[in-house]
Amino acid sequence: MLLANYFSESDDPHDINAPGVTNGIASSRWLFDTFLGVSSSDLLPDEWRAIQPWLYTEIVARDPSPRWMKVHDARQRLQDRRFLFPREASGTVIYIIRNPLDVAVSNAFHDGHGDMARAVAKLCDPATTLSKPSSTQLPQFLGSWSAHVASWVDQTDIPVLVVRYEDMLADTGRELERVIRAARPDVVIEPRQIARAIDYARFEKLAAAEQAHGFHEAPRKAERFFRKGQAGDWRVHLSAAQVDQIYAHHLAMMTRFGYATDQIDRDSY
Amino acid sequence: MQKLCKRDIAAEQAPEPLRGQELLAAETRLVEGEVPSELDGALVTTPTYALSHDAFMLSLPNGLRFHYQRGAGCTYARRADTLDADIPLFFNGSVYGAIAWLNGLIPLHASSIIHRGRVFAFTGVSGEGKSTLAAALAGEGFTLFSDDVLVLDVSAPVGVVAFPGHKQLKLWGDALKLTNQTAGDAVRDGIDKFYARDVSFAGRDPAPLGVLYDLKSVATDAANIERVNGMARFNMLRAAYYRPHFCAAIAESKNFFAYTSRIAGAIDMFTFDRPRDKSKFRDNVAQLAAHIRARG
Repeated sequence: MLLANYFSESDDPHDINAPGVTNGIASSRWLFDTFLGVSSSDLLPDEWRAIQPWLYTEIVARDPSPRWMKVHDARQRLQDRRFLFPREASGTVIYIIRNPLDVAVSNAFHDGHGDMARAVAKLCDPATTLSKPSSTQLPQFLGSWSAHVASWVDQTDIPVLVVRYEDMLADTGRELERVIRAARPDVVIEPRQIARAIDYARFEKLAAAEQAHGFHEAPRKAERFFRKGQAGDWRVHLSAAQVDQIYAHHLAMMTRFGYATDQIDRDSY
Repeated sequence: MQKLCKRDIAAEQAPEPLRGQELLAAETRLVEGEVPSELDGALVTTPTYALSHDAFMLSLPNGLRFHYQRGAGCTYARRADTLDADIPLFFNGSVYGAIAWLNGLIPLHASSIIHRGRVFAFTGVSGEGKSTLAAALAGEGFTLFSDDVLVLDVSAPVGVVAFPGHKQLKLWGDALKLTNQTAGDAVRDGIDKFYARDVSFAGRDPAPLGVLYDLKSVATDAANIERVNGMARFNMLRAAYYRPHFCAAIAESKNFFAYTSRIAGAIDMFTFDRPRDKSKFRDNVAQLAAHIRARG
């Protein structure tokens, strides 16, 4: 939403249900079917997976101008060792990371069940995969939280910028500029557009827009997509055992990105 | 008495070119045989398909390959392990759509029912629930007309004619339960998708396209049906085209605009925005059924 409002040619807030700057989500069945000319829903998993990288090279072949694309998938190799997201079709990775304690809470509500134990287990499961076959998206392999982070931030094929969700909350303008500079160094940053994007993409405004008009990206089972938009909500929802479980699985990565800052924070919980 | 030259006699004796449904039937003849490795004169070549002004090729990861040449029908090549059922499955989608485009017909990505002699079609992105909705309406007493691809003929002076589709309805396992339909054969082993059994389809006669609904799932409380007006009609139709890249590769922009305008001018268009909450599915369907009956 920040990018959509930044790059909008209108001075009005970007409609949350209108196509934005992204080319949709990378796992969109519509994208696959349209660009590859075959129904993904008639293909076996091994079959659509084998040709999925061609989707991205084909998108770029048709139009090489820069485009944004949302990705849930971990960076991964297919059976034939090709990467799912080919280097030649990729520009810059903007990896948005968030405290896994808050990710668990967010996921529990996003998935519509509110079951924290289930959400925590999902973050710790090396086989976690999103989406069911009948949805508008192809299934997306995530893996565990740490493995997902490592798959993108530790690869050296594609330039990557790590953006902490918490830093976006604290200084949205600074982080938005970092993202645009990293991904689109050709763009001259306009402070007025940054300010407009921040204003129009305020969490409370997005939540109000969803309340009024719905949000097409909201999962069926979620009460709402724009739920809270805060850091630290895990303290309200996770039990001590659940916090320990996350730390047990992800301490190293959490430490690396400033999510296990001190023992006091954890012990005081 | 006028003396006829050889050319006049030949013209008198030449058969009328096939049109519409007869043309599509003739062009969708399918036989097993040699499929070239590449398409001569291709306007577009991708890893999976190639397209020229009068031919199309499709290569699938399961080893199936199709080659259509206008005027000559379609040939397929298979691996030894290709199942027979896979051949019509893939032919009836992308190949069928390409043949329609190459013969001046307009395929929509839509499922449809027929009511009081008019076709009511439902379009939307893959996975939006077109087939599920059609199946649910069949349960409300409507007759199915097509699933997934709906071919239109805009050559008649007035109106837009739709051709009945292949008489098969494919549903995911959860959609079968939701619509109380019975599973027939699996579409393919390894996919939780089935041909619905015991669903009745319309006969072979074309029928006018009356209404096109664009399916959305943004609404949270109740379903909402809204008429589409103005430029939004053009955009909705463009989004409803089946395999739009096939069309873009072969259609001159003036033709594209002309027949899109023709269709948009001839039919009613609505968005059908309904909550994704499954507990509201029956109410959503009932609302749409009432809307259709009011326009029948």
